[in-house]
Amino acid sequence: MDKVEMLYELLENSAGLFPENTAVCYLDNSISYRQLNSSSNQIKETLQSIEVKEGTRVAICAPKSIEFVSSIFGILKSGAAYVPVDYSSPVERNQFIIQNCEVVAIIITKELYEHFKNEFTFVSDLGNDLVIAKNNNSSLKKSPEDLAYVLYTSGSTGVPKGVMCSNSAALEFINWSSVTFNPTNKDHFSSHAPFHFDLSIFDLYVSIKHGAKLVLIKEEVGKQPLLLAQLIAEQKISIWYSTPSILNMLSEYGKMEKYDFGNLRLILFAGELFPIIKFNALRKKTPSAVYYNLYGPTETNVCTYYRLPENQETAIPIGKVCEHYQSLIVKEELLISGTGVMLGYWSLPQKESFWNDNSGKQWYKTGDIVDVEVNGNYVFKGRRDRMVKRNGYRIELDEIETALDKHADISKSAVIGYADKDQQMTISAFVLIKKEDEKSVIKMKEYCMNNLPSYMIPNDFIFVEDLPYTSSHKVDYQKLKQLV
Amino acid sequence: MSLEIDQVKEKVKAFVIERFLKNAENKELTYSTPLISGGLIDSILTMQLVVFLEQTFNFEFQAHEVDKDNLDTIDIIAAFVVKKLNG
Repeated sequence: MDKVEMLYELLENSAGLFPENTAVCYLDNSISYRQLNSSSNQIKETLQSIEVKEGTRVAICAPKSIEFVSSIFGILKSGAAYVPVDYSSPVERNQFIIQNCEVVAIIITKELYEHFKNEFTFVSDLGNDLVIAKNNNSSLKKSPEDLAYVLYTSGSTGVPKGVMCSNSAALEFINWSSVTFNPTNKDHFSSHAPFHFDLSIFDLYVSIKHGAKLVLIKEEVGKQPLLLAQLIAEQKISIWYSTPSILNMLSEYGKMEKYDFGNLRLILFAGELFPIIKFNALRKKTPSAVYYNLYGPTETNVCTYYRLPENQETAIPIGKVCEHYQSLIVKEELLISGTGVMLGYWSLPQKESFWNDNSGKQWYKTGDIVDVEVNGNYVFKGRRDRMVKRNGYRIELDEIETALDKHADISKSAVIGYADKDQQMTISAFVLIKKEDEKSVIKMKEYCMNNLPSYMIPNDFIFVEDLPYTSSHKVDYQKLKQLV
Repeated sequence: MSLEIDQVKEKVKAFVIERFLKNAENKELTYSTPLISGGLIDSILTMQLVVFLEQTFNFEFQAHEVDKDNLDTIDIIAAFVVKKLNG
């Protein structure tokens, strides 16, 4: 086999080797490798007829479906990069992303297309309630070379920022995964994470590369532990990948004792800490699986990993650097170098995120503070900045403050994140409000529901008359933390 | 077992306020306040509510019953609980 250089070649290879194997299934529908290859070719042809080509980007804004997967491969085959957008986020946030990324076309649900009608002209119906539409603006920026996808994450300036990843960087990670986890065409992979989340890169491409079956999990089922436990058993999932929050929810509320999880051979988790007590509670329910803690920001995808030994009693480390990366600690911060690192942030200055050493080698600064154990494993200690992780999602607290400060009756807000007694990330918003009758936790949450992705809604609202300030006139967040 | 629907509502309301809305005024939460679609409770809190209902009223949710359609407001929850208990 020739060396694969583009992500879509993974599909072409598997379609040649295992044409009749099921590639993807969703609810009662499934598609074979041959069919997936041919449907993505059709989408590629439609896209190419509207100037989608190398150097351009196409957004996809829809719930998970087989057509979503065909669209991803169709876009990649056309030479463009895909920009997955969370359809369940507020429309204004998605409009920002789609405008910011200067996409040449969108693949979107009919319902959501209504919000984009002025800027995008309808091209064709894709089936399953999806349409393709073309940007009326034709003077759009060119992508950097080899760009495969742009994943938007929370930004510290108050608006989302796009992490640009190349085909070659993604393939470094996929090939590392092949060697580390030995998947086969008999495996059933879960696809729990949404496609705008970097965990999806493993699910999609490692399963397709090996001719395995990818089981797409409907968003609502993914958040409902009773249905999720049932699905994992019935679909005979053998390789599972999600955040610890989801695994913990399964273990605590999924009534797992009702089902047989004998097919689950590998359970991978990433995105946040897994408290050891909760991890061990899960392990008792699925003792035959092998467990790995994978660590890495979207900018590097997985860059360190740790295989859980049979008895893990202390806090779970993030482990050692992956074979395709090098790591370094500078002033307690973890730095990563290698060909898997992102190309940069879309349309933003890059300088602050990188550091060049004396030899000129470029290092990505993760912003994560780590310790090294005697056996060489890294242990996550905290963040350099105000970013927090909740349910595996990274959240810049500034983005919540920016949204709150836009509320007509809020004169100022300050948001803090802290681990509660169960080690769960809790977000509290301190709010200075102008009108007495607007002091309502329920109204505040409703406002956030309409203006922020649901994972960013603060747990608590505390109405205050004034905020504490430091001597340099900045909000004193440390003092606020003492108040909760 | 006969259970007045108003008793169910009161018990659920007390639980929601105590567990999920610690800084809210008691009068803010009504029987028709949307809990899930209003962003007041996420999926984990929804499961805590489910466990509370199962233990307090002594019945079991079927997997497909844990859904916004049965849990979004106190009115809806109470109607569902009474229906379950009356078989």
